[in-house]
Amino acid sequence: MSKMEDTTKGTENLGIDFTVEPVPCSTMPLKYDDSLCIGCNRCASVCQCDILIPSPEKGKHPIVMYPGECYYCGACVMVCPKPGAIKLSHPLMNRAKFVPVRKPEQS
Amino acid sequence: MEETKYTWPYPNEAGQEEVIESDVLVLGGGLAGCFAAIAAARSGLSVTLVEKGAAERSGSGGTGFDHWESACTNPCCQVTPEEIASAYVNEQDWYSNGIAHYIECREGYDRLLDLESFGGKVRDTDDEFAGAEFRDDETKLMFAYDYKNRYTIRVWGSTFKPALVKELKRLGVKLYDRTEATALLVEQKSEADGSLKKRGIGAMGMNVHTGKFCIFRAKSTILTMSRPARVWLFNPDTTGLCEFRPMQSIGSGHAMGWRAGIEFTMMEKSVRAEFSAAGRSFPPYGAGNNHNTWYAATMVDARGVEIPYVDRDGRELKTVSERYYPAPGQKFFLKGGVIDEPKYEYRGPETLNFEELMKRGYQLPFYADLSRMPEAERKVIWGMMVGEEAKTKIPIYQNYTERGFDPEKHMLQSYGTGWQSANFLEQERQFFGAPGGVMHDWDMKTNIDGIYAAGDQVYASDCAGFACATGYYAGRKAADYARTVSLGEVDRADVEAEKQRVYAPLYVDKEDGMSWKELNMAISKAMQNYCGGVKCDALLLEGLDLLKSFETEIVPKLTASNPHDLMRIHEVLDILTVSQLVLHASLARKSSSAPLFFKRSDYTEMDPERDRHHILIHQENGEAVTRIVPLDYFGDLQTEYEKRNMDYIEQYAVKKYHAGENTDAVRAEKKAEAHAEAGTSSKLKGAGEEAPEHE
Repeated sequence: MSKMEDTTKGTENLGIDFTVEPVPCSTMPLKYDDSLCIGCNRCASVCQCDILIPSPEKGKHPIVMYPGECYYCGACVMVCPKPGAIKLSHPLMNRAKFVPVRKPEQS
Repeated sequence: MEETKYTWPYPNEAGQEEVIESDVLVLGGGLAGCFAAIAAARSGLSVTLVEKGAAERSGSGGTGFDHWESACTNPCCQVTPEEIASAYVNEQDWYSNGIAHYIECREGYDRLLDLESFGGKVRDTDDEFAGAEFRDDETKLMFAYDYKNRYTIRVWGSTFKPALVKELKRLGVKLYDRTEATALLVEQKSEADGSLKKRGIGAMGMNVHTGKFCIFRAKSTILTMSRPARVWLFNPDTTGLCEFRPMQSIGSGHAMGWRAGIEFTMMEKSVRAEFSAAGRSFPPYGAGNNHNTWYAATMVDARGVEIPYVDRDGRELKTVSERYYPAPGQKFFLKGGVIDEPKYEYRGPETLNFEELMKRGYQLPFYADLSRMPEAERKVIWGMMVGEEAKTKIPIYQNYTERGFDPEKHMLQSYGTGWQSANFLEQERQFFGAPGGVMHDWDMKTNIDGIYAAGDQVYASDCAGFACATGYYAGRKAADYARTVSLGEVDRADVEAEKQRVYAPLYVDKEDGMSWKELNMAISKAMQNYCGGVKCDALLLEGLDLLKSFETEIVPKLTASNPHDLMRIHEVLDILTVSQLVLHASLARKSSSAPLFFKRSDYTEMDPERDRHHILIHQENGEAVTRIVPLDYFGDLQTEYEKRNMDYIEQYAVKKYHAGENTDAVRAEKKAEAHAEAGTSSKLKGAGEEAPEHE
């Protein structure tokens, strides 16, 4: 994957441009519903693992840049002003099983 | 697929410097750090709080916690602070933090009332559980575990962090979110006798969005940066799930403390892992179990046959209610955070042990079946506790509900035989169950003047109440000290050296360099190999040798493209430092120890009397230096506490007297006062004397 140069023009920094690209992993912890998300970036600002970066396109949902670093705490969903705009899903291997209650056969 | 390219969304300020001056500096914005900042700010000092994430939801209690332990001064409590603190000390064979536990028992409930005044929910104000056995209908407080003694309070912890941050802002605390602390600033002065005396004069750090370098000058500094992680457990794919605590809580306070010469104890203690949802575990509180948040859920086997609860004498309990009361002849029992299988004296009701169940023909898998519990008990576990405990509101309660889970109709599978929901290998280790950490005195001060510690940063720490109470206490003491000194002079050479260390990976060629993940993976494999379940000098020394080679040969190859990657690299450098600290601490203990889960093949003797003490360890000119401190160094808890905190005791007595018309809180406080007075006659038995024998 190629990288795009950072457009920040800072004369008083080290002179090293920052680049960023998504780091894929085997799971996708967060999914956005474009029809509900208003692109307010509250989720990005609250994430303590800082896995999201604001979308370059105004009004669009943030980019899940580091999905493997998600701690699955749900803070992003808790802070979201539009219920349903973000969905958090556990990795498939972590979806605990539940079954209908069972009563022992009387004997 | 279309190629995805993004522009770094934040300004590039790498190399730029900002100098921030304040009286008190707090490093870490979790529960302990927030309360430390609040205490110092309340006393009128200027305070800066540095948080790597965003304080609104950061730290182990960021998204909540469900129960508040050791609230011994709450108006319904039937046990004294002395009884509970000494029970913890005895339960942990004196490898326990008596000072911090006693502070928690004495002041924890005051912090809960603080949280309520900031807007947090600590009682059932909606009368959702009116009339329930675990609820006091007068104060509306709700209790967990021991319903007779009522010293653990069920709380709505998801409301707490945002309320704390609001209060920080109201008090004018300067909050530096998205800023990682990377090193302490220490000044050295010669004493009259020629010795060198160190003093903490602040810290350095970096903004993890812009790369800006920060120099925090302060008269006193409080470390509240949780405990180390990812030392033995690492998964490069779902890295965020490797450990129980948040991804970024990796022990930076330990690492920078070690580099500065701070003393640690019990760092040789690690336990067989209990939690890693990147590996064998399921999401915390998300599998069927009957511990902690899920206590005392009804458990059934594969056939639907109920698994009996028994008291400490093996007497089978007939009703759900009996699971919440001490055994005949027992005053109280211990349950919760760090309590796993307590001694007979403190053992509460528990399901029949696994071997006995197998003998009796019970069949795996087991399940938690809440449908068989009284409605109030079912709803308080599923909906309140699961919902308010950290990482449960969305990941468990909402998520499982959406998947169709109904606690009246379904039972949730259990994957192990205890609350861990998994069985790990012996070399897969973790800092869990009151691990080691920073050593401190009765002021929560470290061995370096001007540097304090609280919460999970200190040795043998516990839960949320522990964090809040010790944080506030450390904040008070650090503020007292700050009033007696002026700002220290920062040595420019220290700043330049740290800037070089922090930014170095930006200069490493991306194609030839190595990622932080590859190094973390190698460290954890090394620690499993050289510092696993069974240790010996030769192995530990080989481990040190390997880690040293990582430091000289691999660290210079680490590469980063932006401040986020830099932050992750700094974390792994800290993990590398902490791993060496653990190896040094393990080398220093020349015997095995049951309470420290420390097994030696070259020194097999278990807990010989000659080694029953703290072995403090710190770093001096690159060498590990040790000294010995008795396990009862804190003395008589009540006497020593009251000697140093009359100002607090008087202030709170006056506050309660003038508290005016605020109904619930005042009534509760008055009862608490009466109770506290009644309780002052009983002293901590055994403290200050030799470690007692256990039954």
